Amino acid sequence: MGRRANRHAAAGVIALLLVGSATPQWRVEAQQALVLYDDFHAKLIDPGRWLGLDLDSTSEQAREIKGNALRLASVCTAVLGLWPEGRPDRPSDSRTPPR
Amino acid sequence: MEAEFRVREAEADSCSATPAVAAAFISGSFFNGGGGTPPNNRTNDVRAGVTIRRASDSADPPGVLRGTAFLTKCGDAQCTVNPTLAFAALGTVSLKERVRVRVEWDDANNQFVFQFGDSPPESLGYGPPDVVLPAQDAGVNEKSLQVRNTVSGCTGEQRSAAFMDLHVDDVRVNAVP
Repeated sequence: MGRRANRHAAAGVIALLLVGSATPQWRVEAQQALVLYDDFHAKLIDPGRWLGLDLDSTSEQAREIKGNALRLASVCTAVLGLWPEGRPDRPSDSRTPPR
Repeated sequence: MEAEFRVREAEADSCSATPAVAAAFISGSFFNGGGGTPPNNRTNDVRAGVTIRRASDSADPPGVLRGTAFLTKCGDAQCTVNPTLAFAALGTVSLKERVRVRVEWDDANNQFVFQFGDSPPESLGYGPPDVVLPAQDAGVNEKSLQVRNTVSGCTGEQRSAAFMDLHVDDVRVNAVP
């Protein structure tokens, strides 16, 4: 009996949500000038401005500040059946099922 | 609100007729058309946003992603049913290319206005709602930046996979809290 993975459809979500108490007004009066909310020049994501959510535990996700920008990354895979022998060829395959 | 998006990597491979999709989003709930109650009932929350996506069945050359504006309304408390009210193609962008993406609620004209890089603004209208409750009275008051990938199930030893690496910079809003 081979190793078995049973992952059906998977959807990964990374959401950074504006915290309620810090929510600006969103109504716009015809090309109203916008002001900077975050340029991500800090070392860490500001928890007072952003809320990270993982809405799908089946995907692998990352959020970080890198190079003065916010980096969001997600990978998800779907497999139903036997895993092929050998080393996975994708980082997303690192969740190898139990042997 | 607006932000600068730069998709550094995007891959989507599907094992079936259902395409895999790697996508970035800037979106949010802007108002409630009546029936939603904070903090959890999202019924009639109106959501708008822009997605930049690469699908496994794309006919575009490698490294090209498509921008699309969308307008949806939540059909139930959890927003598991959220029919699209309108959508519009905004243009294309290449991997590693920076693009400014903007979403505006023009409530005076019952529409949202979207900007995608240097492309002309695109607007999507909605029928005048009976009630317009502002965002803080929407079921879920959120604006978000997302990477959201979708893959279908497979059989045998085939695999579906979707991956996106997104960099976001200079998020701007129309009023600082």
